[in-house]
Amino acid sequence: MIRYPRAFRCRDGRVVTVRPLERSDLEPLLEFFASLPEEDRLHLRVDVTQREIVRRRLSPLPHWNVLRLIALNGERIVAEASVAHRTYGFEAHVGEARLLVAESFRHCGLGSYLSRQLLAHGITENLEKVEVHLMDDQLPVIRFFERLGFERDGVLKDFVKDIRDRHHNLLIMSLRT
Amino acid sequence: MKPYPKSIDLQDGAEVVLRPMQEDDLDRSHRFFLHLPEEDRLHLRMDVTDREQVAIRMEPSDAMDNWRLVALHDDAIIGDGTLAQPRYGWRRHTAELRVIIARERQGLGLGTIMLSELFHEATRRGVEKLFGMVSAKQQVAIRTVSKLGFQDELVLRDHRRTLLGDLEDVVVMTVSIADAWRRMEDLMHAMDGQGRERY
Repeated sequence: MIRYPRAFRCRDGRVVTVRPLERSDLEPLLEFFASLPEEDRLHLRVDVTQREIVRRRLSPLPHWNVLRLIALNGERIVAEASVAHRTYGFEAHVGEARLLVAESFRHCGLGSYLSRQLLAHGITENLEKVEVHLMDDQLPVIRFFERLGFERDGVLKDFVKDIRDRHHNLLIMSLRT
Repeated sequence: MKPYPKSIDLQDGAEVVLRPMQEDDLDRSHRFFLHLPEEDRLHLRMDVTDREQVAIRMEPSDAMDNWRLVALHDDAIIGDGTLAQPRYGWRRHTAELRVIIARERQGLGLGTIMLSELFHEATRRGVEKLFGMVSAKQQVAIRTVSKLGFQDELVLRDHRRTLLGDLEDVVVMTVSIADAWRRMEDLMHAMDGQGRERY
């Protein structure tokens, strides 16, 4: 069990606090999503400008174990990272990780730090494999996960649609823990 | 489309009723799964001999719009089909298909009929792409869905644990709804009028 909150110092010296998302975080979370450029939001799996959809992140998901971390710079959320797996059934050993970092906090070590927190949590939960699901045109993100050791499982053609209703290929990558 | 319940005759003459799953189907559903031979249960996503897991399967979900269709003979479930579509998000135009037929009713056209009903529902919902997740060891199932135009696109390594505890690869097979319909019409013709709705 990893204890939170934890402080992380970015390579450029800025310090962020990392802790699990709490129910009272709805407004700062909406502000974080609203601050993302549309180019980032196009690659997300849900429309994070919709309050009701974002609110669902704050409630427990029945029959799923979800660790949802945020990184705060002062009062402002600058990153969100989660890993989720089923609590029953024959796929409970597979987790799915998601990571979203504000543009101004990329390339400073924060994304790698949060990913390592997710993987460490996965190990304590006996996950044997962690997957990430991406659009196959997200080249910098794909390279980021490859550097962490994730390998490409393959692509499902036209399997996802962005908020503008355009089709994209879904890339699944995974890492053995 | 006729409304449910629908009556059909299988190729062996058995009268079968198709209808969406109801809340009071838990015991019928559990009995159906208990009755499956172990080799049919080996590659499912959960332990369906556990009544609690069968109940979880029937729970409504905020994220997924699961449409479940059952086939009944003498008030016992002999076929179970699911169309699982996300209610929102980037996969909103896709749906996962699952069909399980009782061993003694396989090969009589019931699977094709249930898939046809699921295709109708998918079309009604505007689904563009269907997919199935099949154990790489289930060669018969892979051949069956290949006939419907499904193509294997992706292998997820060690994705599922079998009842025996070992990990197995899962093949993700996909088809566009338009291709699926073309193949389905051919199959229904090949069934030569058997297993059609009775009017």
